[in-house]
Amino acid sequence: MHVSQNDERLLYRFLDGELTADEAVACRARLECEPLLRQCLEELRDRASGFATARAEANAAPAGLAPAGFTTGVLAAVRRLPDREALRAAELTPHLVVLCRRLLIAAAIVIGLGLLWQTGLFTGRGADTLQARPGEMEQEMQRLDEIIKSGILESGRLEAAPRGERPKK
Amino acid sequence: MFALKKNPEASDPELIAAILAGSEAAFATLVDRYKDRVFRLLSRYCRDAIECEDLAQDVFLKVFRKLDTFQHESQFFTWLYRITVNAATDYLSRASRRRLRLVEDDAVLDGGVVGSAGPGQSGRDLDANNPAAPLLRAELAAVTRQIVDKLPEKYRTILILREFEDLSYNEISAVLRCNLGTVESRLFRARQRFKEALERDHPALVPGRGVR
Repeated sequence: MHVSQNDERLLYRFLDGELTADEAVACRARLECEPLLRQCLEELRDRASGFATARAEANAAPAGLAPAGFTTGVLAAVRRLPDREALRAAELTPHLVVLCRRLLIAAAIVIGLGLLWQTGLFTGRGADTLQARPGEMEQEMQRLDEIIKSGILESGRLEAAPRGERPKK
Repeated sequence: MFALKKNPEASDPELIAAILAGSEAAFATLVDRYKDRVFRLLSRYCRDAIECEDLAQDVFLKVFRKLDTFQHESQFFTWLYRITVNAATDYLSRASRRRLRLVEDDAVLDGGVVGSAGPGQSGRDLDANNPAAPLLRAELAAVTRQIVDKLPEKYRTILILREFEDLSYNEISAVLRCNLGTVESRLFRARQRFKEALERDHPALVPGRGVR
């Protein structure tokens, strides 16, 4: 028997004081009549007690506090800082360097993509382009013409022949 | 050049205005006001007191440098916490890069009372009537710190802010710059991770098993 995750979330919010007044009233009413939910709340409280004890220990420990003279040390470090204008300029420089570097990288990417486009990598132009000498082209065109002509003749013979008879070649 | 008189009664916005106008005393007041909170928060991440002091000094120097960018949209302390958490997480990532192990509670690692607790003992033993309750609570606290130290940074941070620093969900969302829903769900997942680690590594300290 377990409570659902939604109920567990509800109980956490209840323990954290994050429920609205109405939600808290409804939650308390459910806790009164649902022992399982009540048991779950106790378990969450037990687990939270580890945090509470750790928090209390840390708050009580002097190690968790700033040492004496800390403020003086910070002020001495502040005095060594340049004035605000110089600070602003000093902080702007690395930003500008980063910006310039990013712009250069972006430009390099764009130029690279442009070159790839130019070589036809994206359009596939390189694949359907024939390269041949003019004489070879002429011969190829004639060959294609002959194929077309013979094809037309062939189809003409087929139409002229009676059904069921194939024309002799 | 600087106004030398400290004014501990001044509000944060008044102090900030004075600092931006060049008052060193106002900055000293601000540091005095928040140094212990910053130290405590940093000590959740870094157990070395000297490193903690260095980090805290860096935090306040950054506050001084960036103070003119503070927008007053949120409270000053949430802005300060954001800077502190960022400094702490930067420190953690630097430390993990250097493969430095964080200081852990040796007593807990060696076993101690937790290891000797019987399997029948449960969180109910933390009742005030149980004479061993203070000891068990101390053990649970030590184990809690140990488990939190080992959680992934985002879960660790949200648990520290909620459970140790006692910030509300709204304050956590301002510090971490995320919405309330994210805070709630991340906190829930962090607690689930914590519960799993507790059940896996320290079953003797697990309260009853009514929650899945």
